[in-house]
Amino acid sequence: MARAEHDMTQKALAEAVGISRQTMNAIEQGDYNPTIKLCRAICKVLGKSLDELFGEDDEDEQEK
Amino acid sequence: MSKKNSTQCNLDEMQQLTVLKTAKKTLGLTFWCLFAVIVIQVCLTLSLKQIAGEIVVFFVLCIYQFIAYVKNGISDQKHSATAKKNAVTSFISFLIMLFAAAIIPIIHPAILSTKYILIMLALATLVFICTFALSETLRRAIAKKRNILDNPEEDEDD
Repeated sequence: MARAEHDMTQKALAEAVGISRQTMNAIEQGDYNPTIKLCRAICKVLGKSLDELFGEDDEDEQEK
Repeated sequence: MSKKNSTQCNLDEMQQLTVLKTAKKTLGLTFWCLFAVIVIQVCLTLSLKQIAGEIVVFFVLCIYQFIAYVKNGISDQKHSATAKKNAVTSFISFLIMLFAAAIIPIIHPAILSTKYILIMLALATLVFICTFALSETLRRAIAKKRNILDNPEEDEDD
């Protein structure tokens, strides 16, 4: 969603962050947990905070 | 990611992790294939001289891994070693030795004798003892190193 707000493709975001598209896709699908360094790099590109991008949703917390 | 990182390595962090996992599996495959080759060649040739090269490579792998594990205070990430588990794996190596001893007379029938059986039983027992001793030494050395790494000496600033 944050990527869509900036009208960026997955490839464009991956290139801006400095990772492969495969890795970006894995992060978005929840198949890979990025390091905090990479998280912050993504946040910087998208202009969002860590909580906004990687924080758990309230619905997920209630389900748990 | 910084430009510095991109010039140092052309792989991102997930790709680097994938490479490490591949290297680990390759090492495991190399180790066990080499072990199988040694056992098979000993059964076929009854000569250690002919497989001296394989044995040297095998021991280099074992020694390197032993030192690396002790240095870092870690071992297998899935299973924690105990004396009981080490005894079980040592017994498995004892059985493998007995299996090889049973196979050899099928390939070389002339070798079968009471002396051969006694020698192979003694060797299998020796393998059991050595495997257990080495694995226990490794377990204790790793535990000791882990304790040192987790409890570093603090500077006396007071």
